[in-house]
Amino acid sequence: MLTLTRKIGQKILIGNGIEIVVREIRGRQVRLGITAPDGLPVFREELYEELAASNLRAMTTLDRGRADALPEPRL
Amino acid sequence: MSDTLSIAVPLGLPGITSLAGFELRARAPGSAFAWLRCTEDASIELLAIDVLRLHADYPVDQVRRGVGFLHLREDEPLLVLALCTVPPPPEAATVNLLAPIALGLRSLRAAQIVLHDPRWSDRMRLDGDDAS
Repeated sequence: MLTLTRKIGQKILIGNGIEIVVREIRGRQVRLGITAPDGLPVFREELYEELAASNLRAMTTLDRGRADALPEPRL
Repeated sequence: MSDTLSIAVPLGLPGITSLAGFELRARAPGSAFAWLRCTEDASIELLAIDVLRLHADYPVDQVRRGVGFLHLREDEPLLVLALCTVPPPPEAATVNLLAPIALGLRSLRAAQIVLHDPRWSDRMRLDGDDAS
């Protein structure tokens, strides 16, 4: 893993379109600003992990019989 | 939704990111539900629902902006799906409206994104209540 040292206001550039700037450091927290190409997904790790867990739960609990029993929405 | 669509999910789905080829097939003709099956690993199958059949006010424009990286044409029709979790009993089924899958119906390219919108949760019941 590449490890870089940055000061407040300094940036890291990744490829052609991703820019990460250190905005603020307060105690053990670092506030980052991220500029990425339009719509490129940027996740907090824990949110991504939750999403992955949700997808896996949807996959592993799937049972055709139960799924076929779901009523159509009434909208 | 009609017939079976072969779709590409270039970034994969979180949790199964290495797989990009899927097939989408309506549960039955006219159904709001569809089967999303991985063409690279037949053991991977998910149940999805057309979100507009659940919530007519779902923020489709926000979803379209969120999948800008797919470079869909502005006029390309978009199908927005949510994955369903169906534990026993089926009445406890929930849908992930926080992280929809957007599918461009011409390019047949799709991606899952996360909405930053407190109205939606990853565990909403089919009747609209939040189960989380």
